[in-house]
Amino acid sequence: MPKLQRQQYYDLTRDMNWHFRYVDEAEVFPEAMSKSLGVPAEEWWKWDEPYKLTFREYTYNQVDKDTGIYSIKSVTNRANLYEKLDSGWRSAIKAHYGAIPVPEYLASIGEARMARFGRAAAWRNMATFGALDETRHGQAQAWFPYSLIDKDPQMDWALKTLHTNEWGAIAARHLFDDMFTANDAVSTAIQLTFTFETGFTNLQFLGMAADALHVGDMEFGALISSIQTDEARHAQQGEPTLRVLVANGKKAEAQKMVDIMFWRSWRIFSLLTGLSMDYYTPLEYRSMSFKEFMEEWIIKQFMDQFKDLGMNTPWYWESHFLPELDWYHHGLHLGVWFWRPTVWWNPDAGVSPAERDWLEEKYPGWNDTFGRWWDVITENVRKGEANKTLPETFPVVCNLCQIPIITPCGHAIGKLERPIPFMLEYNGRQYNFCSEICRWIFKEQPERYHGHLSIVDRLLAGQIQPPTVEGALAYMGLTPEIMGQDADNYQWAFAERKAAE
Amino acid sequence: MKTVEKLEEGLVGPVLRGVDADIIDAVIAAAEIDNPDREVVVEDRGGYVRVHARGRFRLTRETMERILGRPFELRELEPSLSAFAGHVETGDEEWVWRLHTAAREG
Repeated sequence: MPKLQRQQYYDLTRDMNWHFRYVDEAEVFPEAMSKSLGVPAEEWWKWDEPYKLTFREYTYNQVDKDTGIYSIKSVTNRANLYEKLDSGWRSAIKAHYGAIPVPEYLASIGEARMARFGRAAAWRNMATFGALDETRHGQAQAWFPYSLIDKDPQMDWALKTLHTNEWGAIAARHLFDDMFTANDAVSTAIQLTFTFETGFTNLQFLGMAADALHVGDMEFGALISSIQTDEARHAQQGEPTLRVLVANGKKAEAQKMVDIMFWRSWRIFSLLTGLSMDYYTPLEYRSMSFKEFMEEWIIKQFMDQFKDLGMNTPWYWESHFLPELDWYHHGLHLGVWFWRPTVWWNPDAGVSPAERDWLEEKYPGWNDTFGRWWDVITENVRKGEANKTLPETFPVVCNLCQIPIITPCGHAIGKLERPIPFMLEYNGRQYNFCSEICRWIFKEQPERYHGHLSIVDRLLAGQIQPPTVEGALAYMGLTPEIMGQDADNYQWAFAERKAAE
Repeated sequence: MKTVEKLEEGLVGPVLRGVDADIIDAVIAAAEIDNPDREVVVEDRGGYVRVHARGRFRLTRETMERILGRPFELRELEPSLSAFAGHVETGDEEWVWRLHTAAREG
């Protein structure tokens, strides 16, 4: 019997759309779950995935992928690779492992929701693969660090972080709940698969894979670049969804979904990827700066594709986003290093003389702005007064992104007009924001966000006892063997003295 | 073929996993044959390798089979295909990436 080509049967097997006669369409696809935006059923049936795959092909590919990464893992474990890695690089992968694996499981909930409430059979088919993909990512990224726990107790936070009230975990949950755990099918397709996955995840999963291979961390590089092969496919749910919306006069709605999640993605990746690339990755192995990776993956590749679909750059692109590329993550780094006991990895200061030269080259003006603060820190460390570089108070946290507000930093280096947070009165209370855009996102849907308590709100509400740094560390689940310390035991500060002599 | 240090606007095509050397070499060689009217651009970042052309990039099963010297289905690219630039169309015989705006300009 002649074997059929896939394209001869593909449409038949995946186009299982039908009209409902015994139930109301709105009951099958409630607006809260589907968000059809009034686009009629037949219009949704035009949804056509660009990246086509049958279930049979899916299973073949996935076995191949897992065989590949697990065999590399088994070889590198035998070679005791982890012990040979730079301490800053280890911090980068611990930050990744704490922030990512459990949210992958949450993403599978979002995919499963699209697999049920997506408005076209073709879409539901792709989302089913997506749900399986995300389960794979959760499993692999929990298992790889699990086998490193005996070498490094901070690896335990790969599975633990998202179950704690650590501030980064609160920020991650707030974002991921907004984007997929508590989101409808259409918004998930636009915000998770299009904005987050076609756009931003490449920064972390491929940008860091680029650095991993230079560093010699074959295991991490092979793992995250393999994960991204799933993402490259299931992220393709976003484009056909966008096409249906645009074809049916819903461009403004789609644009707003992207504008919101582009900013939120920028915030979280500045924190995770920005610090890892520009401060934690050993200098000799850095291929590009965070800003250069942003230019490649977001400003060129993602925006090329987005604009090609007739969409516009977010409204705050020139005014707020582009200027932040030069400073925002540097400010976050300063804060994360200072509040290092509050994170589950060991922040690498990354400001030895050679590293500062690199920062000045990649971000002209760094020495005259951020460098001045690091001068003070360096001086204190040299005098044996590292205790002065540790926190006794709390930062103010943004009521949208849940990341500490660094407007005073932005103001001090001449990037913001005022040092105070962006504020909003709503239902009799004051909310604080790190940026005009986080405030705009909150104002767009205050009913969605207003009830959430930031970690500082919880402190003020008496939920954190005693209300001290120690009490907060206990509330966040951080124990002494986990709390972050300087990754290099301050060697960088003394390297500078030698260079100056 | 030319190699570049930085991605240029309007380039489209696959981004391949850096650990899959056989597929990277085969795609680069096949790209030269399948895109005779365009310059193939390679950007090697270690952990990933971009193989691109301006506006439109085509890859066929037939050429991949010839280069690899074995039967090959284009869906077998997936375990090596970490990302791609442009919109993709995935048929049995060929995969094409394109950007309409860039294709018009170029």
